[in-house]
Amino acid sequence: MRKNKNAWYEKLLAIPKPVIYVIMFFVVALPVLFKMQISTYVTTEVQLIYDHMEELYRYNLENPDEKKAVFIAFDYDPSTMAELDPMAFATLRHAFLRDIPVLGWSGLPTGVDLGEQNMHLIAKEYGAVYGEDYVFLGYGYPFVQAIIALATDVKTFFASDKAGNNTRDLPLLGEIYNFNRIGLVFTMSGTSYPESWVTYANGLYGKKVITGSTAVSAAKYYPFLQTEQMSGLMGGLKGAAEYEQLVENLEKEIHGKDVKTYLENLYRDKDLSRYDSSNYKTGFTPDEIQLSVARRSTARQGMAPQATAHFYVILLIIIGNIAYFARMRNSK
Amino acid sequence: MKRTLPLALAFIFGLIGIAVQIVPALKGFLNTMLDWMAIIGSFALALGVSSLTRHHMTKIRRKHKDMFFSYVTFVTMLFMMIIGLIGYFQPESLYQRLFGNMYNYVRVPLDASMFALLAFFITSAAYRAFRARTWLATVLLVAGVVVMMGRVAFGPFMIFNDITAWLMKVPTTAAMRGLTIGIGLGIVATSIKIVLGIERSYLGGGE
Amino acid sequence: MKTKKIMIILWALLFCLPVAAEERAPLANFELKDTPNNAGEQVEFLFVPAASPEEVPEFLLHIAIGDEPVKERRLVNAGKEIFLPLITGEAGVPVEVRVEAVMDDGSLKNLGTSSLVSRGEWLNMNSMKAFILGLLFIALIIFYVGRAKKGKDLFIRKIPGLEAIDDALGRATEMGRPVFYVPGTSSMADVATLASLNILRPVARQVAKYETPFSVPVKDPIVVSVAQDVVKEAYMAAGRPDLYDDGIAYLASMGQFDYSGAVSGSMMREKPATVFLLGMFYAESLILAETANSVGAIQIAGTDASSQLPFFIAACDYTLIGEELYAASAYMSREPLLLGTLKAQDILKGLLLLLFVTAIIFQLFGIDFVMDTFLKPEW
Repeated sequence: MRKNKNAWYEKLLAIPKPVIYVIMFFVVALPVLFKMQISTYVTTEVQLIYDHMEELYRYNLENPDEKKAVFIAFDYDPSTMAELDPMAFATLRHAFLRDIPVLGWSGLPTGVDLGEQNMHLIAKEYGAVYGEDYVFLGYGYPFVQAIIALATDVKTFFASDKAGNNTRDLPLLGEIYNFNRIGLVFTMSGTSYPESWVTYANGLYGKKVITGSTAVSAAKYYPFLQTEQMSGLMGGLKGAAEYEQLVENLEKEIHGKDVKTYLENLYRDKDLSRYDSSNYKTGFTPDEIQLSVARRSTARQGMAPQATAHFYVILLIIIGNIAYFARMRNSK
Repeated sequence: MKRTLPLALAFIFGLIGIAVQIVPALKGFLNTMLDWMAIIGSFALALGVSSLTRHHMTKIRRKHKDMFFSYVTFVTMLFMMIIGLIGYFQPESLYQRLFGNMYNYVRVPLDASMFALLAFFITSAAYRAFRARTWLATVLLVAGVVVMMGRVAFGPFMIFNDITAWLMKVPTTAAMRGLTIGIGLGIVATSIKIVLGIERSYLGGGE
Repeated sequence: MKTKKIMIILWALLFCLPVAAEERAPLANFELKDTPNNAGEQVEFLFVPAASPEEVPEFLLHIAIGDEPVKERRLVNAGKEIFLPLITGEAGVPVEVRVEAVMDDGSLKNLGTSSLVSRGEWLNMNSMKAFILGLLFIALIIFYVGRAKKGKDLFIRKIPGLEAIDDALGRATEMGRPVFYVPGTSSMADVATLASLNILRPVARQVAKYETPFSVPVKDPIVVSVAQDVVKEAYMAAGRPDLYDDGIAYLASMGQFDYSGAVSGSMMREKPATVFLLGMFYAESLILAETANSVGAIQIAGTDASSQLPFFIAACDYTLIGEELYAASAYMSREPLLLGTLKAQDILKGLLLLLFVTAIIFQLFGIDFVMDTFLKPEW
């Protein structure tokens, strides 16, 4: 077979790697720089999560003295935070928007700080008060015993919360301390923890378990969804983007379209003595406002480069195949 | 002796490993064994540092053309070791903060960058590999494109989402199960070969 | 007359019974059970609430295990049965659980006590089937090893990745460029690592024979010392101990991405002609494979990590898929002992497949016998 080195297809087949890489760099960088967002379609498994939360909100409206909380297990560490942080943000937002109390812990030692930080970060955007509206318990270890403690009284397991407060002094835990008053359990993880949550929280105590997982492990949770052992599933950045979008629509409905003004005025008429500055400082600097606004679309901004990169790879495959067939035809 | 002792140990502990699974009363012994493994494992760190040092010392001694990188290895290793040790004995000191910052703002981003390189590598690998050379390669190509489209589908491309869901739930799962069973049997076979001393290449010699 | 009296009393009792039964309708059923197939280190408490959560929102358990002080535990009534494992630590420990119902008005009502002494078993019957299968496997191995030793020819299908090894090593020698061998990034406890080290031996021997520069960067310190031994013995077997040096197999780094950085860096500088990536790999698989490709090396990869296989298949020239990695040492050495085990493995696989298919066919007709008898762990 004689090769015609100057033929267009030979040149295409021998595109140097650096060229491919440089184009990839721009394909990923440009959507990030221009803050491109793509609105994604909402799959049933994510819509379910939203609906369960709204159901909880309606229950709380009807039973204001017997409010139920959501429980969030931040079972992830920095290695998977790119995918799972946006899920945690959207869930916390939804809860605070609907005034649903939040309890949380992390099942991984390396996820404890991350979980606590995220809780304060989003709580600040809604003026939620630590100890009254939300509590972060700390490191849920040993894992199974910690879940079983939630069936009785979690205060006996956690004598103090992550920050060192006596759990008996926290008003929220005086009221809500076990599964009786927890409506939904969220677990966000790239590990196999969601399966344990299904075994114990769902299997033993009949709680609705919602999972946020990395895209790689999402596939293995579909059977649980089918058997209703899981009541919702967010898989990877796409799942996060869907929920984020649903929550943003809700926020616009409640606070209006202008998030900036809302944040600027949030602490104006509030009794600031209720807030402990060790959790977060009330009020926003202009930089913080900008960050807060950007954080509302982290997953969708991530989806844009993901989509463009996918299309770029598909384009490359098509070009490669055209050139390959041209060469085959000519060699015949 | 050099060959018989390891083989005998592999045989004895292999049998114990099997016995532990069928005689519940031996479970306690399993824990003891695991403790010992952890203890022996911690010695490995010293072994690792010595191997690393020897490798790079040889490079420097022989004035290898890339010996600059060996210096980089030594300097960074010693630096982190020293500030880590001092920081351990002086908590809240400058050293501890320095160590934390080096970890958070140098090591973690470097790790992340290495991981991010995958985005580039996957493009060139896909460009090269996804060619319709044979009909099997064509199946791979079509399935790959469909799944990629399905992950970012919108509007009229929504059909790809449904096909992706089917591809993931049916053929992928089926193939994965077959692969897993084969791998499981392979692991059992290799383990039995090692316990029985049939496989001994890992000890260096076959004969 | 007497019989009539008795009949009347019996009739009266019969009518009274429902009333009495209603009064005594249990609020919950519970039972302490010995956990089967263990050494007595644990017993089980099975609790089935019968009353509705409105009637009895919670139950209170008083758990006494051996000499330990009595522990109290509240159980939320979710209307579902609850299974509590209780740790006794050893056999022969008495356990007692007293149950009280916390009524909706806060009052307590005693529901009774359940007790037992923890008991151990000699055999774990749940592992029995696996054990028998293991024995069958060993018997098959002995049989086929015997046949192979008698000189019976055992057929093995061609594995292209392994066929290519000789050519790949020859190519490196011709080009005067080094050979890299990466034995995966896992520890010695991983069978894939062992399988990889088994392939390292023949590769190292060939490399020594050809006098080709050789490099084995390793991520785990224990694997380093084993790899050094393997390489050393192989060089001696090839009659070239003079070429051996402890630096051939070395610890590149212990962190996942530091390791891939270090190895990719060496590849870029030393430009190997052949790169082996055999063993257990994680996310770094593609980084190593693509770097090897970009320096023009032939890559022979193999792993049992199913999530990394697609990357290797896309990026490498040859890929050993799953169990081919384990078969490699037998394939390359053609040693009757190893070939015999390979054959035994195939026979066992065939038997299992037959069992699966039979079970599926029986299940289609609604018969669970095959499935329950052979394919479930319970005895």
